[in-house]
Amino acid sequence: MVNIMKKYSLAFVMLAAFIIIPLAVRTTDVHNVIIYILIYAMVGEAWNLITGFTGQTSFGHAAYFGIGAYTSTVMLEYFHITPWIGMLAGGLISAALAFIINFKMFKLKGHYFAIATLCVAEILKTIFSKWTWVGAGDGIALTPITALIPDVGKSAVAKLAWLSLDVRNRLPFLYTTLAVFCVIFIICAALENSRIGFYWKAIRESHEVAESIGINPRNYKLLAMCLSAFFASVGGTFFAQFFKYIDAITVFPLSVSMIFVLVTVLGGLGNVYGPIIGSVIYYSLDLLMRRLTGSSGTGLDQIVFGALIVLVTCTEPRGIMGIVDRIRLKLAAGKRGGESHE
Amino acid sequence: MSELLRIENITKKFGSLVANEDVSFTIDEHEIVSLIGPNGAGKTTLFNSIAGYYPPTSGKVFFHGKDITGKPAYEICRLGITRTFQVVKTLKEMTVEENIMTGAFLHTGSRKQAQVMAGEIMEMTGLSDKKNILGGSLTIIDKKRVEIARALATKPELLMLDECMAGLNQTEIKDVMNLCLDLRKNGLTLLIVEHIMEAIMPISDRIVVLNVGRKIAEGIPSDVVNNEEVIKAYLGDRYHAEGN
Repeated sequence: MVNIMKKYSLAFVMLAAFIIIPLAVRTTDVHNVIIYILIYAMVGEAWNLITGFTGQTSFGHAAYFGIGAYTSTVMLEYFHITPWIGMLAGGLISAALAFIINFKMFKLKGHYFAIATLCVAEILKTIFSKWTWVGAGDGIALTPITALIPDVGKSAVAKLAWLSLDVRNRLPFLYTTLAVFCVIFIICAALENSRIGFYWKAIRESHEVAESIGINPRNYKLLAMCLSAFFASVGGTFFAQFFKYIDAITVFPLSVSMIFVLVTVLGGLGNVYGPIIGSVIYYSLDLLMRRLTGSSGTGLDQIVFGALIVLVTCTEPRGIMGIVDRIRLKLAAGKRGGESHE
Repeated sequence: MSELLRIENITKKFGSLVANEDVSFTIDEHEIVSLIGPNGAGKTTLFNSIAGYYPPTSGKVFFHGKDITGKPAYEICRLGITRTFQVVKTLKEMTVEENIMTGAFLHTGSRKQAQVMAGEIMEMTGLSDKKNILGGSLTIIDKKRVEIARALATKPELLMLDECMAGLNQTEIKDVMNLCLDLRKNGLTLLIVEHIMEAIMPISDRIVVLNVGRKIAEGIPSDVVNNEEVIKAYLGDRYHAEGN
């Protein structure tokens, strides 16, 4: 237990910050930024499983993100089913789709696989922008939950089940997002330290080595992809509940897929902290630039973020966490050196 | 001694190129058998056919009397045959310990147990003091050690070493030779592809010689080095003279 506390001390510090800051700074824009950070970090963790740990580059995670957003929204709007169940349903649909598509697609390697993943998201974007049942080009605007289901407050449990995902109660919604992010983070960290995580990393580095020590690469890649699709889809549900409006070009485009890629690459590819660190920087920059320049500064944060990515990845391919690890190693070595000197 | 591996009439063609033609031999339990031959003789191809990296065009491979021809590599590993690679494939971003643990996970789901197994193997292969070094920053001899250690962690019955001594100096070669003999003492069977005659001759029980895809000789080392055809094809007159 003490070991876990020590190993993940950074996680506990960050958790404390995420609990305290929203209470200390009670402004809507800060709360919104924190929710954005958590949603994109969630999907970043998902993307990190298949690309960071397992080494199969996906440029199409918007596909699963979008399915999550659409599934829970359709179930809520058309069938009055709580987004919690919609979230699970979306996750299962995403995982099933990931399984079916990638069962064959994992025959592709490297760039070819990445291009194929991109195509999947683009195909879904086209389908959803033409599909009238889900609103086609108009998309779906979410009705406030209390207006949709007026008698929600029968019992405390029912109230919690519905209202914890109503973004009009911004603070409870923020903490719900935080809780779900924590669950995903813990699952990812646990997987990284298990046999599955070791096998994923072996596959990332060499399929041939993996096979030579008894690993069936396709099965482990499929497992990573399905879990990844599930978590990305959960992020999609949160996005829909938060944004209160979805259409195909909001949730399925390449630019959305790239956000997951960029925050993770900046924070640290293949590191469980990567997505959250990257996401914090991305959205803090966004907030900072808006505060500094007002609306005239739109896009300025993107320029700074782009420059930052180039800078960081050129000095350390493993992102900011890679730099942190290097400094930590150097400090440890310095300490040892100092001790032996005495 | 009972038979462990039997190779029957293996032929492997890549298009019109015949890499192996009608090769047959057997390996008994606790034997060290070496596969030698000049460059392009088809040694690595044969290796790959046995280990499941590609299926032979024709012919069969039997392990413990069971037909394993054409099974995928990971299944063959689970049956008890593990190989190393001629060009070492250390998992660069994992530490030495993690490299070996990855192999050990074949027999346990528990991280602790895998760590214990890795510890034993690092002891045996002389890697204990390097366990926290990343695979990518090791010297070539240590990379080769890790390559063998990772294979050993899968607890194979038959270990197949592909040119694990190339590029090593005299002392390092001695280390690997002793390791091979130790492994055999521990009950393993070894199939070794090697170029370095001085290393291979003293430790091998039997030698199979390939040339241009065909088996041209098989026997105990002293017979093989005196075989006219082998000398002509591979060893050259100089070694022949030294051998006498």
